[in-house]
Amino acid sequence: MKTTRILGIPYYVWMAIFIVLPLVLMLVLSLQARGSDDWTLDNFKNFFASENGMYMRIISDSTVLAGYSTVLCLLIGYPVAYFVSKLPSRQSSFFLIMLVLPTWLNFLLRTYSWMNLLGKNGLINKFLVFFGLKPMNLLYNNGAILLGMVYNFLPFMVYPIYSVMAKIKPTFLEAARDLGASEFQAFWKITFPLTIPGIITGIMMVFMPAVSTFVIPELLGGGQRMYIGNLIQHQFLQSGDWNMGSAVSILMMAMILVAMFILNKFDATGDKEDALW
Amino acid sequence: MVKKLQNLYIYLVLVFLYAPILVLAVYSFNASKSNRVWGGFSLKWYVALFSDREIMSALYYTLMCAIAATVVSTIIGTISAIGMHALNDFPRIKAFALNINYLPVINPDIVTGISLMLVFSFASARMGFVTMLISHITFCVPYVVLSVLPKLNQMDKHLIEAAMDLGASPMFALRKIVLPEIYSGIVTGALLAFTLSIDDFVISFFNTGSGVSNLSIFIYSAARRGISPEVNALSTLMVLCVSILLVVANLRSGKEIASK
Amino acid sequence: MKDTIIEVRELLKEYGGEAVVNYISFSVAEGEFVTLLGPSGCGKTTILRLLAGFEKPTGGDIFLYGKKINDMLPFERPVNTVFQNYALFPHLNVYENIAFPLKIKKLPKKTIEEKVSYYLEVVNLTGFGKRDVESLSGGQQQRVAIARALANEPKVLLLDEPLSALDLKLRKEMQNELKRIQQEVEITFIYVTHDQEEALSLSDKVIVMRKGEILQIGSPIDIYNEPINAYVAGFIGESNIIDGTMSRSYEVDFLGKAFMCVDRKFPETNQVKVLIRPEDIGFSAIEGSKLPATIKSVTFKGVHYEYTAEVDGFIFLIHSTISKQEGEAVGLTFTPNDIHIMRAEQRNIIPALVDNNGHVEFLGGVFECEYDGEGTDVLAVIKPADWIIYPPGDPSAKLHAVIQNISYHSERYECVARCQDSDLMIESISPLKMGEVLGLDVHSDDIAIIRDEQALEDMDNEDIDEEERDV
Repeated sequence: MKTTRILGIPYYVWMAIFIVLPLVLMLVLSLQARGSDDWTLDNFKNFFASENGMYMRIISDSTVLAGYSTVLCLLIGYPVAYFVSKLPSRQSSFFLIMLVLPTWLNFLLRTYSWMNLLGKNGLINKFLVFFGLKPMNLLYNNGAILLGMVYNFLPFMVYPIYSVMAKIKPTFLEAARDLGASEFQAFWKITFPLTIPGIITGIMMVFMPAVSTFVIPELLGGGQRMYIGNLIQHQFLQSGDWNMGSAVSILMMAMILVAMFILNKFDATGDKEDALW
Repeated sequence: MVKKLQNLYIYLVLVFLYAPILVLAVYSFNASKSNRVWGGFSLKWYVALFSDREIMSALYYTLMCAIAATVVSTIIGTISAIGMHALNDFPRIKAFALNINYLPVINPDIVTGISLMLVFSFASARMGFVTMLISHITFCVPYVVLSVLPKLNQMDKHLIEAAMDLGASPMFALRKIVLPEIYSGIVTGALLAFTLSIDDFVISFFNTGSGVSNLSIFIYSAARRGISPEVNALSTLMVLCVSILLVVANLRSGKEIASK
Repeated sequence: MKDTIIEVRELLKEYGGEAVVNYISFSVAEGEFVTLLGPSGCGKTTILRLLAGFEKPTGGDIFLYGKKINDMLPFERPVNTVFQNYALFPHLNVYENIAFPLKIKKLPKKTIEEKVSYYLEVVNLTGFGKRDVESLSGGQQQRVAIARALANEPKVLLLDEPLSALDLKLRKEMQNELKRIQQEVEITFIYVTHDQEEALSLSDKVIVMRKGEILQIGSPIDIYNEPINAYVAGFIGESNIIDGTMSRSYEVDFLGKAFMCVDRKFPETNQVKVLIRPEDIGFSAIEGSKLPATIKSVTFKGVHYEYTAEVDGFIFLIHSTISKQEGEAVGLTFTPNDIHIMRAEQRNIIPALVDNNGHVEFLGGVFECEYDGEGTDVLAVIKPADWIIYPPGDPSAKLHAVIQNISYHSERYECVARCQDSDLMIESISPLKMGEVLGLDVHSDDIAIIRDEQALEDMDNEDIDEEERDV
């Protein structure tokens, strides 16, 4: 229908200005040296060959930390999704709401709440003192960052796995049992392979924010170590090197797109419409 | 036995999820300023919260921005989804537009936020409420489009043709046939837009200025200064609001199911 | 006579106090093709799930080769199921699906390959091993599901409405395939369907069910020709059912005429139902016809015409290849062989007094009941099988009756017993003796309270309508 086709045009213009143009600008900046208009690859060269390997270390630190938090979310979250899916529907929907409810709360508040618990005078240390133990430095270290990531992103792992799991027909498991499989075999040969698309979505939904966040390292890590998110923020807001900051941003974007592409390959059978939610 | 262990595990995870929030709520009633000691029950931080001009202004901007961004992005998103859906004869253009639309969804917030900041600064725009609102609309519209499009795809292709065959004008068909069919997608999109906007920190952080901040930005700066009891009170109220909203929403959907 | 492989005794399955399978007994011989036939909700699928071990019976026993298997887990039973929607594992291909039970058994790779290719051949899918199950047509998926269940080499194969997801043409084709496969592998098949044609054309034995109870067990020919009551007759095919009386054997009166027939009189009653199949009715000249009729409607059905014709207010349904006009006067004929006599469904209809507090009084006993109609003078309707029998003098017994005569019908006893001045019909599965005194009670759910005889007829019609809608 010709008349309805034109309805999209205003948004195409909007997209051109506020989605495409910003990214193009970022790309252009990343290809120029600070304070010059000449094209150069120096920013990227600097990135990969900085004198003390600082940038590469930041990238690898961020990836490792985000990887740990993704694995932890999977290890903790998969059993949750599995157990909840086996409950009668009224109970399972209750638990599901309970699991999702914290994500409705402000992300900053959720992170802030751990500062209260982990701090030098936080509740956990008070318990330790009460039982005659020495207070520990719980806040401002990598463990605290990891905890904050798992806490914030765990529901993003549970939810997609659960929604795939809930769609597995009970007759599949009955058929497997009927054909001689033990309960464990039925899980390992039927349930688990069928939940792989959910696992992949979960990994994407946890890894992506985990690798790019600068709030959690700053609040729970005390800004002592730098991760990609902090690096970008630092380049733009503190050191004012927009060109280098743009290069790092472009690299991070590329990294995430490649990761998503690889993960999607694993998920050739997956239902794309569900993959997002 | 196995069942009990499984339930225990779920409850443990729930404790992990709720304990920090609960602790916040308890401290919000603490009369003492530091959380080192329990100074007795008091509502003074709630009073302080409502007389704190900084917090009230952040709350005001958060709500204004969320409401405006939701209204605008729902309208733009719905209209554009209908426009994109009509592009079926040009699958390449449609796929291209959809991929661009998808960028803010898959891009990390920080990239979206900073790239928008670049545009605003090159246009020498004054950073403030308007730039924040524009950036919110930019990341909300894609979600509305993605909620509405599947509904349009589910719709029977011949519905509009049938309506026009029966004498309806294209506009009439759109209003009376298409909109009711995609209504649930529009509502989902609007809800998503609202929650995303109200919860956003990173994108707002890079695209605001001249004294305009939202609650997330306020909490961020307060947290960096250290624990402040007003924030405890604020978070308790926010938990309460979200819980009430969810309960109401659940009761309503429960009623709808019952009436069906 | 072949050996019995499965015996089900007094099987009971309740969900939340509601009996879905209500004290059912039957047996299956080795190599037999048995069909459970009935409308949806009659409990046939539940029986299958009980046999497979997915559900535990509330009461009663299931025996396999004479051994009780009530507590055996599904995978311990030499019984496999072909599920209604096949339940093929979507992440495995055709070969891997069929190999699934064999891999679980950890058979050597070579054996697995041989077996899979053998069963692929049995179901005519040689060469399909590498195919993705979701790329197959419905009929092909069906074959894979059968091959997978057969690969486990069960003694009994359970099939739950396996053809219901296929279109008509494919269904016919798969019917023949199923029969061929069963003959080839020589395994006992227990088949569940609501399609009477499928049941009649496939089975060695048909079990007709309704509301959790068995109405009739027999060969397809028996079930078709000698349905036990109007319900079975109506469910099995189109039919004309006429009220009749039979005062002696080999002669029945209906529509005001006497007809020769081949059945003997029932000892306990003269009231019968007469069944004549539409295709058994022929046309004759109107002159001198015993049943002069007027054609009311004509519908061309492709292979035959379908007529309705009226005789004295009764509308006959007739299938014939002879062409007649609407309004034409014709004579109707059928042979004594075409007249099938059924026992009219027996019920005790007892005058009773009802109060508003859920009590009904009849024959000197007071019972609980549910009734919200008007009036206090009513009729209580009780089926012969619904009486609960106690020894005489038992405190639970509310009535006492003396047995007047007894007859034995396949696996159940029927008797007429005198209580005060009324004769009650009572059915029992345990043996009864002449002159024995029975203590009787009846559950409140089993008492139907009606205002008059007219209401009884309405109740019957409603019953059948409701179940036809289910199908």
